[in-house]
Amino acid sequence: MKKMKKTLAAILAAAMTLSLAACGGKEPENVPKQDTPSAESPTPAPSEPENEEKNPVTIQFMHSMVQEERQQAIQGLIDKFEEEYSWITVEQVPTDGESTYDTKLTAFAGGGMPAVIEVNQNRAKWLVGNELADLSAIREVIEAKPGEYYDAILKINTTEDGQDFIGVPVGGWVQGIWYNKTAFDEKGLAAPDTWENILAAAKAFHDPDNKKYGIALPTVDGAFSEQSFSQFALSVGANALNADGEADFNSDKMIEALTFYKELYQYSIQGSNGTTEVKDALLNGSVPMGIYSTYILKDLINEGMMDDFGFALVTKETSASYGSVGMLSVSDGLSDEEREAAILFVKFLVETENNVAWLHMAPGGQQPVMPAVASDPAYLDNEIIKGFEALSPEISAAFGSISLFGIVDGRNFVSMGNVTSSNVISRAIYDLTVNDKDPAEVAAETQKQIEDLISQ
Amino acid sequence: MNRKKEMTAGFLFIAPSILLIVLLIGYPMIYNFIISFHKVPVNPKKPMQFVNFGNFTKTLADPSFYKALGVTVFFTLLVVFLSTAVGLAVAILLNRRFFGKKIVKALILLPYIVPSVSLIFAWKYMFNNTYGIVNYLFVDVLGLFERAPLWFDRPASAFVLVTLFCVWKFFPYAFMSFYAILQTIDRTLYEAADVDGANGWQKFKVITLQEIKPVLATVVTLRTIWVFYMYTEVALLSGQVKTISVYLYENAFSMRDMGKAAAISILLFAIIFSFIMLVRKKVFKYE
Repeated sequence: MKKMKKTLAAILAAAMTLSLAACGGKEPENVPKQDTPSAESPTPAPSEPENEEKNPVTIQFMHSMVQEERQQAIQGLIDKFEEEYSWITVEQVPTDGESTYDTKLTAFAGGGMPAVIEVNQNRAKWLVGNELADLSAIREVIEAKPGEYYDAILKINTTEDGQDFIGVPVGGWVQGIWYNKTAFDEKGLAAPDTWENILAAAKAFHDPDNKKYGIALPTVDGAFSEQSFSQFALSVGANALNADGEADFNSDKMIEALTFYKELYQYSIQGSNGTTEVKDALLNGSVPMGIYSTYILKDLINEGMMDDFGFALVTKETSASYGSVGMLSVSDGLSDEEREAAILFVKFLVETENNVAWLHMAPGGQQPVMPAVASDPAYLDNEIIKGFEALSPEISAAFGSISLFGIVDGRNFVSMGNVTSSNVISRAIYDLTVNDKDPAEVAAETQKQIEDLISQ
Repeated sequence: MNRKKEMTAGFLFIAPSILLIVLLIGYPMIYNFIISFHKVPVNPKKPMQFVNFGNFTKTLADPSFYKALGVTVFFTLLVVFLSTAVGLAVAILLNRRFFGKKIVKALILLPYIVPSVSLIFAWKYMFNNTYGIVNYLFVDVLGLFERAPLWFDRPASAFVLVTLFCVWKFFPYAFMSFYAILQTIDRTLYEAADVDGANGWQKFKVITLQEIKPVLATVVTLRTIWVFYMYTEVALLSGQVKTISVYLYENAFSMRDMGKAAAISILLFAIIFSFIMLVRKKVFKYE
């Protein structure tokens, strides 16, 4: 009896321990169920819904808009869509945060991907690289809108062979240097556009004894640092990959960019600087400049600081801005009905009127990716958007200067998606700055890691 | 004969629970075991590739694995010991009547019931380089440092802070468990000890410790398992405390090497299971 008790106790303890051990890969709570793969099929034109002839179909839409008001706005769009296509039901799968999103996406990839997924270009590349995106469905939506996207957006959006698109763009944001024009004018400094001007300004403003720093430089062990550093690297002609798609992080140009970034860090707020630290520093006046995206516009307007601030692009041999294009991806392996519903839903979301509603969820942050939307009176009729009208030329120029790691000579290498999501470049920047590592050593280590990732 | 029937009935009663455990835990366990021998593609339509013990040898040959394991063992020992000791000390201290006891108990439970994420951000703000209250006190008021230390960016200070945070956050669990059992101890035992001239330590060792031993074993066992695999608090507070759960997460979701991640979880299971069995057999021999 005692032996049996002990055995039972051991079995239960084993089960409990291993189940906790498996917690690192916890299953998502609401994994949507979808049918097995089927052949691609063309989708009927969305203009004539044939409600009575269709079988009901439900699709999931995974997006990162977790804020309640944004979920309501998306629900408004879904309600409107369902009214038009009454046989289709769309369920939202809002998912928070950078790492949570990747975790969930990875778990979904194991089975039951949502039909439509909102992704940035890195995640889109990852989906394409793992053959999880339905490229023909994506092409069908984009080809329905010929010539309607900005060229710079399509450059980011093509597949490696240039034949397809990695997602359907719905909005985008750019990142560059935000600087306090008034403070710069007072010190008689030039706008922080070239490397030399940025460094000179950082030195001039740096006064740590009085809690004033030259710049808020992203250094966090997360995607933000890669985005920020990529502008310096690409502006001097260094890229993470070469024209053959091989790792190229150990080049002289890259070491030059790393060395400059490290030098600039001497005049930055110290430590691990993520989006919160950089934005707080810009808004509370402890720095006169910092690297951030257009998502800061709303805060600058709300704080009444918009008139004081300017926006500059990092320039050395060329100008480079980081940009992220918000895209919609259609999952591979859907049933015919789900695929058709997904395509209709994505087409619906990029119609001008609906795209305006989408962009107004984060006015200023997400910028239009289609000229027709940018000039649409309904889009412009927004207090925040009116608030930064004066900066519109600079922001448009930034879209034209978007350069990204992994796009070389017009080829958009999807393997860069794996490199970015692995965080090796961000970790390199953290080590370079916060951990005071040598640029050449960082470059060599990162080169090896990128080589390993690509060989996988 | 009757005893056999009772046993059968007993097993029948617990059968639904066992069935549930087999379905909900058994399947993931077995699947986890299977994929630990495979290279697992992200796309489920692509076939898994059998790699034999490749994932295990890759893990065991990785110095980062041992480093993470060492950090985790040290971290677990510290957090479990300190949170249990503080929980027990506070429970003993509060196991008497005094004015405002309910408020004190509520305050003690506060860190345990507030969501971790809120507390983590509060701590990060407290230690922020430019506007954190801690640096304000240490640098501006007391002048202990010339510049604000990078608390969460230096491995040693990050380790200390993450440990402190976890002790502070989780000691109320030990407190609640000990407080409940302390209230069941017969007061006459202490009175008899007083008559015999026992001092405080002797009363604690001979009466309190013996009476709370079953609860102590449960608290230590559960807390060891939880702390060993703790991810959220460790990862969100600082990227510099590389515990085994962070190592596992990076392999599974950053490097997306599910086969290796599964192999790591099997190895961890073997380690923690052996440890728990050893502790229960050698330290808590109360059966």
